[in-house]
Amino acid sequence: VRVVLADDSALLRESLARALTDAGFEMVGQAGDARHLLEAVDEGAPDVAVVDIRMPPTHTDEGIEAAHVIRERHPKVGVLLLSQHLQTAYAIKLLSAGTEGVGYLLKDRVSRLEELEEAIRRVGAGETVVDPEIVARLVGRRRDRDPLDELTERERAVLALMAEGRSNRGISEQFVVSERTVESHVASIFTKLDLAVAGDDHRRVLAVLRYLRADNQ
Amino acid sequence: VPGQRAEPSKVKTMVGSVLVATCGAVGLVGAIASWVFFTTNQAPVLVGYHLVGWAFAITGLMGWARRPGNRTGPLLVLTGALLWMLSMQGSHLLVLRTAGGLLGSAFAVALIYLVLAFPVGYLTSRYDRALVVATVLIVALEDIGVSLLRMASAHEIATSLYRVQSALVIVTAAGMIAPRLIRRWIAASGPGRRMLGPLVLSTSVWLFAHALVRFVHTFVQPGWIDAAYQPFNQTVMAAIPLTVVFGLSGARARRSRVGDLVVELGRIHSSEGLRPALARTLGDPGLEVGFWSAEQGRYLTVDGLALEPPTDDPRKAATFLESQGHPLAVIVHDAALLDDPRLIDASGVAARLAVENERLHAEVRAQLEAVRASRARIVEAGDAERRRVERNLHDGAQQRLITLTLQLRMLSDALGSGLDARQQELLERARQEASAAHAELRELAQGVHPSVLSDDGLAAALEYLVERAPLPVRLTAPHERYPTSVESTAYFVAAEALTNVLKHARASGASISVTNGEGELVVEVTDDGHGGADPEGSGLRGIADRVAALDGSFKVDSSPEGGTRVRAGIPCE
Repeated sequence: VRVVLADDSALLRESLARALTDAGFEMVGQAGDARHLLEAVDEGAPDVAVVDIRMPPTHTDEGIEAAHVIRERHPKVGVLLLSQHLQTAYAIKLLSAGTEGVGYLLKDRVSRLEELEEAIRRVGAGETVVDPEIVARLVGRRRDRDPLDELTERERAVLALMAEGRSNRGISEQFVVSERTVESHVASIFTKLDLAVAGDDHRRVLAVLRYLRADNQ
Repeated sequence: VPGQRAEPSKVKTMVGSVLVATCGAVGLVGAIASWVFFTTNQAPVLVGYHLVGWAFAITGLMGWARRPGNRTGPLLVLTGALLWMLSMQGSHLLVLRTAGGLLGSAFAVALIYLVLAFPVGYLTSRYDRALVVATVLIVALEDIGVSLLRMASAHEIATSLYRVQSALVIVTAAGMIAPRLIRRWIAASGPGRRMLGPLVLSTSVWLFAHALVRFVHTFVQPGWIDAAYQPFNQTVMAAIPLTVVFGLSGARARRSRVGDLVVELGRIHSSEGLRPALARTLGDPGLEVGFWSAEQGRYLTVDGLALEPPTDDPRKAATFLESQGHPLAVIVHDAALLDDPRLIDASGVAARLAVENERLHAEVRAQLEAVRASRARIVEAGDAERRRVERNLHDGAQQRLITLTLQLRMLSDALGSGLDARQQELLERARQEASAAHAELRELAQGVHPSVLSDDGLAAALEYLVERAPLPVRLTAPHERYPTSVESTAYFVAAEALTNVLKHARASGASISVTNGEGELVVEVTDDGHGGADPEGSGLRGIADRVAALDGSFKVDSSPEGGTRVRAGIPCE
């Protein structure tokens, strides 16, 4: 898998590049800001761009802007955004522009390399990745009258995995059950939560995230 | 000097008292003498003049008592005394008869002087002085010239001289003095006219009537003229002191309006209202008020125009208002108002209070504004510093800790199976410690300044806050952006209030509501706990100060039954 890496901290960028190379990824470019990132993507033709959200010059959300540009110019290139703080609003904003090959991950994950590697592969394969911490936060939030109470233990776990962007197959692999079993869990969840059934796995992520978030209003 | 006030001095008052006593004595002697020694055929006419003299004397004494510094009173008394002299013409005693004859018309000099000098009490122009001198000469011509000729039985020359003298009387009275008075009345402004009006009217009627009768008496000589002339003359003359009383009582009524002025000045609270209020109270529409400008070293009107106190216009006068020796303001008004020092003094005191009050108000307002602005700047500087610290932590220590955890992980991978179980455990623990340190540092940085607040605004930052709260929190917040200081203040109000809920309230739920009110952002945090929030606690005190720095409102209601409710209104344009 060909990877472009963008982070304004050279120290972290170099270390991460080494680690990813060791893990078998092909590093085709590195950048310290959004402009160089776009150049590196244009030239290196990567499968995935791993991008820190906060970069110069404004140190706010250049990464998200760059991700949109990359998605527009190179629809095949997956974008995995890294952030020090996970914000549900950012995740929704990011996924609203299209969920295929998009990921949003806590930057801490770089120290659990296998999680980062898996995320890069999944984004490269066109899947959606949402950091489990966001999902845990949304699912675990206490509500006045919690509709999630009606779900069984297993259904809650399936819901969380859906929100993380897993496909039915991914979920079935995780739980070591048949895909058909997963499908029936999903149908039951959608009925209990009164959610409109989404056609494919990608749009399902957004629907579930929005559902979990909208409930807090 | 015109425009300056003649202060009544003790000496003058003493001299005045002596004069009154003298006049009183003369009057008493004159009265007794006249009554005892009147001849029968002239008695009614002379008694009439004697009574008119009393009218002048009494009015003069009243005016004198009221305005000790003004010569109008003594001049009235003098006129009265001279009328008594006139009435002595009818005495049996030769000496009194002679004195009465010689001074028989001298009262006219005093009266002309009085009306020309009214209201200030002295003659202000050369022309007026010339008129008085002319009057003295004309009177002397009759009383001394004609009388002596008659005594010497030179009747034809006496008659001719009398005719010449009559012509002079007619020309002077009707052609010069009366027009002079009327012109002065026309030239005067409001208060001057009111004061002069009655006197000018009665005196002018007297002067014209006198001239006319003199003409008929001297040049036509019908039989009835003597009988008709004296009662008419006496009636008109008696009206003169009464009109002076009338003018005085008008001034007294105006003085009572100073009370209204004080009430009005207490209400208007601004320099603009002072001039019209004073003009109304003093009855002087042309009145101007100038406020002292220390920078420019002169007086300025409310419109910012320079106002010079008049020096060469005898009809204008200035009253200066001072506070602790420093000039405060000047009132430029009609000189006639000086005739009633108590009116202008009382108005001046009221105006001074108003001006000083306004000045202090303005000073306090300016200081308050300066303090408010500096408080707001302190809050803004604090926010900027918080942002700087957060960014430094993010770009520095946080990145290094992430790199450290990554490198520990890579070290562990590189060493791989070369490590024994204990070494692997140590390495893994080091990685976990570094990771935990990073997580703590991240929370600390967010507490200093949540980056989401400056990036995505208040609603997103509050959502981040609420998502991680360990109890259900309802949130409503508009997604618009607001000025940085407004957003951060609103955020810290909500964050601090929520922290309080978690720490003290033992609540099962809370709500944060941000609404866009009229010109302000209203943040309300409520919970269903058991109250007990301390508004003076350091946390709430701190955000109360923050809100106050932006000129906002802050309120905490806390009760065991109703939970706690924190409300902040933050102005935002």
